Amino acid sequence: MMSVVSVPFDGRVGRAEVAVDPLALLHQEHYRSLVRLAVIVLGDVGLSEQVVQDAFVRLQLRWGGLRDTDKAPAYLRSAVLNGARSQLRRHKVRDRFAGRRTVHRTVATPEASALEHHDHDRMIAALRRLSSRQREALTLRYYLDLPEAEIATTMGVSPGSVKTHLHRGLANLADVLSEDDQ
Amino acid sequence: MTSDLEARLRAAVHAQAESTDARPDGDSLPTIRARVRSARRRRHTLALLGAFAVVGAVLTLPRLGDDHRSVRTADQAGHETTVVPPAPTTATTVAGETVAPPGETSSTTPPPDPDTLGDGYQPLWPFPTSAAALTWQDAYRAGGQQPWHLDADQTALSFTTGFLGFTEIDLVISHDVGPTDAHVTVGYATVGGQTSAAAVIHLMRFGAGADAPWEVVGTSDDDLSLETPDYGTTARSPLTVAGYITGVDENLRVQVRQASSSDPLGESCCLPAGDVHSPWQTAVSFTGATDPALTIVVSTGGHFQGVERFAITGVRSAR
Repeated sequence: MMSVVSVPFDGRVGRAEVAVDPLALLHQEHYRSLVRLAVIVLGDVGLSEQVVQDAFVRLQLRWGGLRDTDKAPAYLRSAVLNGARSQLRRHKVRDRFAGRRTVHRTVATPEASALEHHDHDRMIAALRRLSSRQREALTLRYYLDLPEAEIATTMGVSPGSVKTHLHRGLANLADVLSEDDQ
Repeated sequence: MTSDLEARLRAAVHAQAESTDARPDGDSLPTIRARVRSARRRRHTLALLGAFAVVGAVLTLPRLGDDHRSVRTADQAGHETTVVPPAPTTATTVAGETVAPPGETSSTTPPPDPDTLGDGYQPLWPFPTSAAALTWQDAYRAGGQQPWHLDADQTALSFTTGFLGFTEIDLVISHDVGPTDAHVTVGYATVGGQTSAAAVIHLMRFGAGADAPWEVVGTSDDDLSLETPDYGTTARSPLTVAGYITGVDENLRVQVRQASSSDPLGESCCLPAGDVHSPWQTAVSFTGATDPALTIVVSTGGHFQGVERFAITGVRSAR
């Protein structure tokens, strides 16, 4: 892929055509956020990195088959969610997660932040008790701030199903949290 | 109330993401590049070998009948786009070697038969063992037989309409097909040209090479899940089967199946279920398990058609 970028040239800033590796660009722009997306769904950093790398490998192998390379980020998101779903079934990560903390918290020192962290932990634990589709829909909505249409594309479902997953997901989340309160 | 919940959820997922200690970006890119190079080399080599095999087959053998019939596929709007083929429904046993589907020749040099795929995935259908998959691969290279094994969509539809007998689940709604695994969403047409998804079938290549056949290994479950017994564990009769369902007035049927049999080995029906993420549980007895892996399938329907949703899991047979 050729891209026009600004580069220093004889002490000035000019425009020149340089070869840009599309994989490197995509990786730089999306790798970290995709790993974080997968961690929210999976709860395991190592598995999440593996899932994201699988998605990049698959994308690169299929690059010529992509009709619209602008859709590569959406393709990567879908591939990561599919991979995460498979990993959940394969390793039963949800069942083991309670006994294993692989996501490191950066606990702040002020006591005031303790309550906030506690609430975050409860939220994430409750999120992981939802069905995989509800968890994915909520993650795409509230982490990536995707509109419903893009969530539908990413999840391979209709926009109507996304509304249902979001609505039921929030309702179930509230139920789980209230159960914990009792 | 909801907005407060949404705000707390948003804060929690962002905090979770920010605290994720992923490796530096630069560490993973070389790994990805190396894996891409390796996969391409493998593909290139196999393509050359395959080309030689095809040329040899064309020169020495008459083209065997192409049994590739049609499978309907649909876009998200429910418009049919292509028509593709159904497939044989069960595996068969030829000279002590299980081969699926029927009509295929067997190899004279059967390879060793490790009967799981990588990472513990269970071979559910159409090939009960890697030997059976290789037998087909040899036959395909020799005569181009049963090419539908190389099409993930067709394999998924053949699994639902043929092996499971869910003849109404006859559309591919979407798919994500990679080099070694695939997720195919199957479903059915509803009123107004819409479609409804019944399950997302997970398939993997069984064996090595670009012409390794697709094998069903499970489903990615959503509103109907099958969580007991655990995937890959050894199952004995009677078997407790359980999961979760979201729905109204559902009617659950559980079957135990194996690739080499057209009829279920056991069945339990009809368990009423419903509500949101509601647990369900039943027991099923079965006899006659001979394949290494068994498919447990739960299905529900009755609102629009007999079967509207299903989920499967794979277990090891105690034999």
